[in-house]
Amino acid sequence: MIVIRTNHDIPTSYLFAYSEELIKEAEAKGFKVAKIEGKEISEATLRSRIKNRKPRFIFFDGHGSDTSLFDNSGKEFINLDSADVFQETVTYTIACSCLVKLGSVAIDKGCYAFIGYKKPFWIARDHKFESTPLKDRIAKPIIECSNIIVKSLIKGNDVEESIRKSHEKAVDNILKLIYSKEPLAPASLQALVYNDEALSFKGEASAKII
Amino acid sequence: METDADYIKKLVKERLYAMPPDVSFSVGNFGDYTRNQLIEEVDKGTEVGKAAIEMQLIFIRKMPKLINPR
Repeated sequence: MIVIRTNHDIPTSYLFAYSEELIKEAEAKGFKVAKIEGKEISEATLRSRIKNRKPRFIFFDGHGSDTSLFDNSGKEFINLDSADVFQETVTYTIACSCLVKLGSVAIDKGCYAFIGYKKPFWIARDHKFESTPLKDRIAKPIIECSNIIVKSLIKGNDVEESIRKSHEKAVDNILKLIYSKEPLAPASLQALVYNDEALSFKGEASAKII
Repeated sequence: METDADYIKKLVKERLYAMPPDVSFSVGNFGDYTRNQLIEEVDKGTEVGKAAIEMQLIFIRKMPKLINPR
């Protein structure tokens, strides 16, 4: 599998921090994880890694738009013209709105399944934990629900089942947040409900990465 | 006379005001906003403000179904 992670502002630093455990879990399950990070993120690097590794799964977290993924400088590095890069893979992007057009074009160009978000991805945060994202109890329930897709796929579940697990986790976390005494819980709750609504996929529901 | 759009804007702002001020939101590519900055964006009718309104409306519509799916 190939993991592409940006880390250049607060939201990407959160996604970066929370994806560490996904990489460890994947490696523990025997996946060879090729990481593309920082200045290394480019279309050329991605194509080269794909050529060498022939991954079944590509995971991206960072910024995106309905047509593009952005690199560590916030510049577009994958767009509709280069969406063939995802062919013969299951791809998951935790990024804004990518599913809308990029996901559709990726499927047209041979991607088995493209999982992503139809709208902006919201992260609610507590100011105090900007430099220690893993301690942020407001962001955690939100990112947990998006990360469960990766955890499920590496366990051998298919795309549809993985999305179902994310929705179930969202409902669990929503119920916990409703009854939480944490004053910032409503912010977390609203972002979680919004992201859960925006999560979907295109392509084969039965696609798996193992 | 207050229009539906004005009423919704007011509702969203009140809901944001109800949150403690030490919350921040990362709104994808739009950037990071404190509670008060997000309220200002709603007031100005910017793209981020519109996204905040959409988030609140989806929350209001979806919550009953999530906690009582039948």
